[in-house]
Parts: sequence; structure tokens; C-alpha cells
Amino acid sequence: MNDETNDYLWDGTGEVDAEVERLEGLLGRYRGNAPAPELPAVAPRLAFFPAVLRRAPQLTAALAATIAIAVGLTTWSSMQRAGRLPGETPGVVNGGGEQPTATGTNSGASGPSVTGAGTGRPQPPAAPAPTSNDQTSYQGGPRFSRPPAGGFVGVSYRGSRSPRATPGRAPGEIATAASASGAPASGGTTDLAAAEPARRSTRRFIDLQTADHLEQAALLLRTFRNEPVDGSSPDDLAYAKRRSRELLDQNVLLRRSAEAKGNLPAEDVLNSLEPYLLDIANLGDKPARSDVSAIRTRIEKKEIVDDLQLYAMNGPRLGF
Amino acid sequence: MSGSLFLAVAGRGRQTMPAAEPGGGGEAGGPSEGSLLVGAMRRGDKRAFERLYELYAPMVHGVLLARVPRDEVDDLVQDVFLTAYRKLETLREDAAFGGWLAMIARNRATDFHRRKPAETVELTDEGLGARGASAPADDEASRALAAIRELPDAYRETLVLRLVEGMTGPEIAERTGLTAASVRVNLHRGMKLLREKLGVGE
Repeated sequence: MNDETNDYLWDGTGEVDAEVERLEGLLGRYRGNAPAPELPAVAPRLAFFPAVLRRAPQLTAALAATIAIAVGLTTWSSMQRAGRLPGETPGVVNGGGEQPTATGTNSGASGPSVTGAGTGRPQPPAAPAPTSNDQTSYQGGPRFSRPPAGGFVGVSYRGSRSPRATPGRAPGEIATAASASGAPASGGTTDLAAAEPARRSTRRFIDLQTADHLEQAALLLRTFRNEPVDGSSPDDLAYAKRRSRELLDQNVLLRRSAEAKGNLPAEDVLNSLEPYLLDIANLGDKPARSDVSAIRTRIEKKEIVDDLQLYAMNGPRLGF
Repeated sequence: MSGSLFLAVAGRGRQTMPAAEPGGGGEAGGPSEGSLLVGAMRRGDKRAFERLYELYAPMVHGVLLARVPRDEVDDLVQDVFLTAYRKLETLREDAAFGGWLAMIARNRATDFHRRKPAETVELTDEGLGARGASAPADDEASRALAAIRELPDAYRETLVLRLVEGMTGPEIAERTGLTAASVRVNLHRGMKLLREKLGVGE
């Protein structure tokens, strides 16, 4: 029976696999049946923490205030980076943060050419604003009147490239579809507001811990991919396997956490990482060169390292 | 509240392990049974701990059996659960309890090997003729287990959970936190290697 299609091996359904059934009968005797351990009278941490809270309510208030301040600073920091400090008018280019660098859009215009209301120029079509989940197909598109010949349109929003974008596609090129119609818009546009959610949405889904994890995984996969063709040293391979196992454990926790929070993008990227970590961790002590090459080829073909780095780069950065 | 919670989720035996329930989403996407129990355990509910033990002990037992001598496993299972109980505050997400617990079990197995020199740890000749007469079935079972233990890490673990603990693929995915696709690959590749080791055709 082919193991690939062996439902009996998977969940005990379908045609019975005689060998699997035999092994189940043989090995079932090794099942554990030890009773649950006796717990200590009071869990040390559980007893301590409530007691502290009862005796020091001021500490709790101070902690809450600190958290509120930290959240406020983080929000302010991210808004500053985006160039969207309070009071800024949508559609107006400001002096801070990342400047829109649309090229050759409005005729005669120099520098950024955000077309806001009241400019008198033909308005681009009012494309729908992208959803926060829409990272791979940004349909909204920045609203410029005319695409440049041979160039990309729209706001150059660094770091917002979809992991699934075709290699070589310039940043912002994902948005070309919406801006190519040329139909006049019905009203004022919020070009920066349209471009920004795509960037911020990625950042919102990738927390610090996940970003760090993705960075570590990218480093491992890149190192593994770049090993010499004639084979890795046994020590390097042992390290890669051990490290892969550690990252796999962490990947499981982060993925479950993302799943519980309904964070589909984070869950997706962690899902896609898992098979690579598993394959490296499962290499034998003296693996065949073909097995190692197969993993390297897959890493290269799927560009998983680039994707992981992009996600990690889009994670939050405190203090920047 | 914890008492009524316990009554609401109690009553499931070990014989029938519901697939995709303890760690996954509950009805209409709500918290799973495992998450609720972990939450109760955080509040000091010992019955929730016992119920979690019932649900996850087979997985922990399998993870350890794949790595340490058989006669050490039961003690280490209890050790793992006590460690989990003591360090519960380090678990950030209740839904990740299974994967977190599996990680503790693997680390515990690693610690076990670090404390005991490799030459005194025998995984392969348990129950074989060297210790006196034993039933042929015991010998065969021991050889099969030894063959599984020689497989790569993830294959070994998944096969033990399937063939020894009797968990299905979806249950293994749910308890360990791996994706179903990863578990399926582990089972199939692991079984293929095991057949080769045992000299059995497909």
C-alpha cells in the first residue's frame, strides 16, 4: 500500500493496512497509564502574585499607567514614521516620514504629485480602499492621473511588497491595475491614506516576537542554502538540525497563537515556514547529498528567505 | 465558575480521543476545551489540571517514549506536567498549550540524556533475550520500537504517537501543534523508512 495515500495510517479509515495494524497491535502494550501527579498545595507563582496585588494596589495602577504610556509612545512613533502626525491633511505631502515618490504622473509637476481635492486636474478613478487583510493584491492603488511610460505608478511605499509578488517587480507595481483605467474620479482622493494601510497592515500582524523568529529562520535557511556544494561539515549539519528543531518548536507556539487570535497573515507565513524547518530537522546524521540538495533547491525556488525577511522587516521596531 | 467549567468539559475517557478539539477552535470559533482548561488551571483549578493530564498525557508519553528508555518514561511524564504547572505563567497563549507542553517534554528528554552518560542509556535491548527469556511478541515489539527510535526525530515521534499511543493524524496535529500537512508527511515518510528497516514491503 502506498503510504502517500494511506488513509488508514492517517486516521484509521479506509482500507486496512496490514503492517500498520500489526504494529499497532504489537506496540500498543507500551502505552502509558501513569496517574496524574499530586500537585503542590499552592502553585508558588499563583500564590505570590495575587498577594502582591492585594497589598499594593498602587503598583497595579502604576503598571497600568506605564503600559498606557508605552502604547501611546509606540502609536506615536509609528505615526511619525508614516508621516501621519495628527493634524495632517490627507493627500497633502508632509515633510516627515516616507515621501511618496511617484514618478512622472501629473504633467508639469515636480516632486510628489499627490492629487488632492481642488487641484483642477483630472481625478483618477475612485478605487476602493484596500482592506487590512489585502496584502497580496492591493486593489486600491494610489490614485495618480497617468502612469509613467515604462515605470511604476503610485506611492513608493517601502517594505510593502507582497511576499507573493513576482521577483523583479518594483515596489508599488502591485497597484498598477487600479491606476490604469484613467477614468475621472468622482471626488477627492486620499492617496497616502490608500497606500498606508497596506504597509501598516503588515506591521500590525507581525509582532516583535514573530518578527524576531522570522529573522532567525531566514538566517538559518539562508545559511543552509549557501553551504558548499560538496557538502556541509558534520558539525554544521548538526547545528542546523538542532537550530531547526528549536525554531520549529517556537514556530508551533507562534502559529497557534496567531491562529487563536485570528491573525491569518501571520498564521500563513508561519505555516509556510514549517515544512522547511521540519525537513532540515529530519535529516539523518549522514544525509544523502541529494536530500540536502533537494531542500536547498526548494528554499531557492520558493524564495522563502526573501519572504521571511520582508515579513520580519515589516514587524514593529521600537524606538525608530 | 471553575467548578461549573470542569463539569462542562469532564466525562471524556482516554479511549476515545476527540480529534481536533483540545487545542483547536471550539464551537463557532470560540475557545477550545484545552484553552478553557488552561485558563481554569491558571486560576488554580486542580480538576482542570487533571483533565488536561487526561487529554495530553498520551502525547507527552509518546514524545518521551521516542527518546528515553521505557522504564524512565512514566516518571518523566509526571515531571513534565509538574514543570508545566509551575511554569504556566510563561505560556503566553492558552491555545498553544499542546505545542508548549511537547517542547517541555523534548527538553526534558534532552536533559535526561545530558545527565546520564550515553553508554549507560540503552534504548535498543529492552526486553530482549539478554535479560532472560521473554515472549516472542515482546521481542518483536521491542525490535519494532527500537527501529522506530532509529528514525529521524520528527518521524520517530509521530510514529510513536500513531502506533503506540493510538492517536490519529488529526489528533497528533492538534496535540502537538504541528500542521496536519506536516504530520501527514511525517507519518508517511516515517512509515516508509520503517518498512525498509523492518524489511517489509509496501
